[in-house]
Amino acid sequence: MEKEEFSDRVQAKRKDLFAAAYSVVRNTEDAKDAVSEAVASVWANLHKLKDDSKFDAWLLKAVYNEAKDIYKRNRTASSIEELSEAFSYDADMENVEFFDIISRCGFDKKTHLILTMRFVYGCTLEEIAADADIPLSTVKTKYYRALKKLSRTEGLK
Amino acid sequence: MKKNGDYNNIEKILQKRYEGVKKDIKDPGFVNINYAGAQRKERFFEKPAVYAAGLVLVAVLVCGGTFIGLKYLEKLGASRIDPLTSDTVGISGELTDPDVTDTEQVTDDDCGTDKLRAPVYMTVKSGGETIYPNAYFLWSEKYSDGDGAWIDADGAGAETVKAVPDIAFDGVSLEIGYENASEVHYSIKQNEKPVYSGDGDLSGFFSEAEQGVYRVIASFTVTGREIDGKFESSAWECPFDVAVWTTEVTVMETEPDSDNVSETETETDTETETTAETTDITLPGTYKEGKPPVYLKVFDANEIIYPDAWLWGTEVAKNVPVLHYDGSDIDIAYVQPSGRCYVGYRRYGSDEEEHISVDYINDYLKHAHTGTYRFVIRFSFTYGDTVEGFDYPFDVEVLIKEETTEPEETTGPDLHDPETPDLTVKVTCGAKTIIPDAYAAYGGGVDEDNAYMSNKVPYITYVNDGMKADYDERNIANVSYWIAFSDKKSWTLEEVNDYLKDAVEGEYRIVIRIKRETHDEYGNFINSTYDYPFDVIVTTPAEPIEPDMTNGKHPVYLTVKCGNQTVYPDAYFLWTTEYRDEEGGWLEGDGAGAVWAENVPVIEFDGGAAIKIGYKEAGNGTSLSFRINKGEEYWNVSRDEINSFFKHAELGTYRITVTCSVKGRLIDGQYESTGWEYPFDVKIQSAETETYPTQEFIDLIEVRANGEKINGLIPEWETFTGYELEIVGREDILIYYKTGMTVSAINKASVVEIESTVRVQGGYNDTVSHNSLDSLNNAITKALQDGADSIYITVDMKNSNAYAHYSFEIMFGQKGKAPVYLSVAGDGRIYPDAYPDHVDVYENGKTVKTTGNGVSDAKNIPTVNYGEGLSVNYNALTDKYLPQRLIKYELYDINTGAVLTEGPTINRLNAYLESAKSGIYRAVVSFYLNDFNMNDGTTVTGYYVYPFNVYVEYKETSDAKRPVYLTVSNGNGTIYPDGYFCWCEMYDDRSGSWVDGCNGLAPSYVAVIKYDGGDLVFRYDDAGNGTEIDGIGCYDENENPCYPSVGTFDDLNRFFKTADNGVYRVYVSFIIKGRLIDGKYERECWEYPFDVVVK
Repeated sequence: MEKEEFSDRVQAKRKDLFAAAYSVVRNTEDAKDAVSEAVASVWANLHKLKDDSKFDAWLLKAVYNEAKDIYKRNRTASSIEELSEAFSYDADMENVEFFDIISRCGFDKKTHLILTMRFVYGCTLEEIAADADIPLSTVKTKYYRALKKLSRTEGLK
Repeated sequence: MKKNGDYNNIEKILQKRYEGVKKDIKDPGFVNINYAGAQRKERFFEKPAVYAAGLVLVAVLVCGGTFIGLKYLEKLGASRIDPLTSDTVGISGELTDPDVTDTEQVTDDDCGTDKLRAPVYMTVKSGGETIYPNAYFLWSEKYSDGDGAWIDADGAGAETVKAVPDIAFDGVSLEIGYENASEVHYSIKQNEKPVYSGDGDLSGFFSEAEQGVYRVIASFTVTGREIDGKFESSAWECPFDVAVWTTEVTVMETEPDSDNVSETETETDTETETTAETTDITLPGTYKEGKPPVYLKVFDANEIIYPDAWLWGTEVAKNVPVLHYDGSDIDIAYVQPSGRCYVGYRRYGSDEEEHISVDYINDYLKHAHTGTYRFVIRFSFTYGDTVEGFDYPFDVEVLIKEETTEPEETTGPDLHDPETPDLTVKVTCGAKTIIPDAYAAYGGGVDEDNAYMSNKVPYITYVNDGMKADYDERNIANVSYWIAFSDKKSWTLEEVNDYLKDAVEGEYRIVIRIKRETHDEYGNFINSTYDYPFDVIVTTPAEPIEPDMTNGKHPVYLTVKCGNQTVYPDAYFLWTTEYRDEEGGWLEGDGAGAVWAENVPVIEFDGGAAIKIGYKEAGNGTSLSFRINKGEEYWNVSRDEINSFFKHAELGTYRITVTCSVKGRLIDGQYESTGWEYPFDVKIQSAETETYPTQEFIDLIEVRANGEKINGLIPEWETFTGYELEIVGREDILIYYKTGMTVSAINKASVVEIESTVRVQGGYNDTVSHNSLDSLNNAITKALQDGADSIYITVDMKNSNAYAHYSFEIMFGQKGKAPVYLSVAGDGRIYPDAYPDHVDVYENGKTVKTTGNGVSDAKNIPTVNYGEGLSVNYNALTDKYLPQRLIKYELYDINTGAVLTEGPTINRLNAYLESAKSGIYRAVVSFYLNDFNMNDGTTVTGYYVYPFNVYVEYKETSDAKRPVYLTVSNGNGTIYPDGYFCWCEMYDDRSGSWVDGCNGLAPSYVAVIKYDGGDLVFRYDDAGNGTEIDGIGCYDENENPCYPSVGTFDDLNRFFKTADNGVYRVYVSFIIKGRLIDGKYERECWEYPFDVVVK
């Protein structure tokens, strides 16, 4: 993959990648850091990618892992005010709080990844299994358990 | 269903919220990609304002204000990057918005696809059809703002296409629409040979083209910014196919050779004949929904359908439309493509005449039973020596006959000349009544060769109440019934009903013969005999189901029985794979299955009667699989295994989930299918000992000391019932030696064979076989005298009815602490001490003290090696002292004190330790003693706990190292990673279908090897019908892939050559081939994880 195409594909997903990172770190600057670092890392290792169709998933996983690392290093509680910095001026407050709700559920990394791929990327469960290298049964189990948990979560109506 | 509704609801909420989040979240700006990698510390995000500024800049640049534009950009904060030193290429400032959603030409999402999108949106139209070819990147020439240089890139263009849409040329025009493109050029090939190149209107070309399929590649150029007097540009290719049907059809003068082609013109439809002489070319356009070359419609007074054309391919036809027959005549119309062509009508699947007509179809439908019938209209063409044809299949669904309470009068079979019946007979079955026609029985009997095998007789569906015949009983001389083709010529109605009650599914022709004797108006005697034929349809009645139908037992009615109990688990939708006729594509969807099951029925299992699971097949085939959830999940167990599991399970409630897969239609060689989960609970509430049947044989031997029987000695036993053996296991029994202890048989007469073995524990290394109890007792005495700690004895006894196996241990000198003498055996044996835990001590009926704090008082905690598993012995205690067998087994994490597992027997601990990591675990056995006599004048009530440690050294489990034995070696040694099942594709012989199993377990043990700087050497043997490496995955401690997950052994070794220090988890995946069925191998996936320590 040439720089041109690599750049195109990254830019096309930049908002999703940022949202994915933000869902972990809940901090605009850290989320940007996570995306930048992950993209650089993926570029450096791009020659190892043999299945081009897995590029998006690989990129997303890299962003996730980077975001997790950053979160571990800088673990701080975010206030709603801080959270809102990533949102546009006239954002719906419910949307601002959304990441906070997801975070409170305490999902493991895989579940978090599955939810993001499902909703941010719009992937089917089969695609998630294939792209994220997680057995389909695991994807399904985690996904539906997460839905169950979320269905009981206050604030999601 | 309610559950699915809930699931859909939360999913919709989440989708909506995520969309809101995505909408509201600020665009982070373009990612200025740091191609230099981690060496650069700066973050390269550009603000959206910069991007917006880029657009402004372009406008400025276009106007020639380069300098002003650059300054403006700097002012807004864009980072300046030295084009000579930086490896960073940004794309900010690019003219076209990289968010290509406005120009997407494909409807599927990004996941798993590698389709490229062009900034053009192309449509191709002909007739009523429109296609949207994808665009494939060919080349680009763009200015890199970061580098300050022009960059060229090349793509493969249309050479890489995988799926090309096609369109049928309607003979008139082919319109190509596009946006934002210039320099449009078309190249057309047929059979890889160029036949056209240019930029003109393609309608003219295809109007004159010969029949065939043409590949068109439309190429476009898209222009971007103008920089330094030069435009950025990119080129794209959009391939599509055009099918052209020739209008030069010659008249078929001779019969074609093919059996599938009409043979005579005389049987063609009248309408065909009238159009057959037309030589004008009539192009389609009247019935747009049909397909070329003939636009066909089938209609009646209320409905029109447009069957598709299949190139002599009715068998592969999809989307066959259905006309719902309303009793009125159907008609068929079509636009003749040109000249004369041959038309035939066929009733699909029929062995009857091939060349029927519309009249035949209507006549057939008028007398058809309820059901769906397929008809085929065939058009045959000849071009030179070639005969080609198109089939237009359509279905007609006949519904009205079922709903008719009073059947229409039917005409009789042609082979008889019906007279005006002088008697009307009504046959009633259930809620339906029919009136068979009457036929004079000439010659004194029905024609047994054909038995009125016309389909023009009324029919009735048999129900268990049976049939009744109603007629005027006056002047009846004789009535008899005949089930067509049966040897017995005269049946009674009761006999017919009895026969049909148990008959297999099918259609039965019944003939009622009634003989009447009357007189005419002149007093002449009239003797008349009439036959009344009709059909009875017998279907297998559905099993009785629970009357409450609201809880969703769809689509398979599952019945679970155990003894006298029956429950009916509800169904919860799990997945569907179905073909959408409208879109012509496969749709897959998932439900939550039994995850949110409510109202789960419970059935009790008492160890006696087996659990039986029954169901009625649905759709085109039904298959079941089972899993048991109880802590661990047991997947894909069989029905037999369920009963085996519960026979040895501990008390408690277990959840069984039956997964039911129902096949639907067969389309493109693939079945539609739906999956449903049916959960139910099994409660085990009987104690283990209660499952032991009382056998005379059971007390065959006893251990006595000075005449006193030592309790607790119960054999394992087997009974011979034909060729079946039933085996019940039992823990070993520990007996403490008392003076004068002997082993005796209480029913010596039944003993025909005794074989015993004495294995002395500790310091007395003697294993002796004894063929009599006397010899055995002598050995016990000798062992005592020789100072053995204990002896382990097995006694096998047989008689003509049964076989008994006893195993027990006699301890010489009590070890451990009173009041319970506990022995734990693994690889070796230990005798944990007792520690009272808040035990009340009574003396003379009064509480004298409460003592002990249990494990926290422990001073001497022995350790036993887990070995092959732990077994526990203790002196037998009556229920008086040990009420309800109040014993508790617990296992703790020795470091954190967390409870790992607990249960009423040692089994739970063994189950955990069997797959536990290497290390030391703390186990505690607790006895609750009630008013126990301590032989010192006191009694005690309360818990005594016995703590001990268990050392586990990993050993192979039954799951380990299967089915491939993998060896990984380097200079630091050799490891043998265990294999863990990941998924399978198996052929289910019973259901005759392929099933997937995707239920891998998490690894419980991972071998470790130290990296020595050299290559890891892998060895493995083939298994099954072949073994393939599916991939070598490698991940660091943060689960980052070392390289893309599907790698090779070479990739792995290359990685470790330069790997940083750390622990890396490697997965070697094998695909094992199984049987070859229908040209496809069964496959299993196994993963072998191991860790590589790089230091």
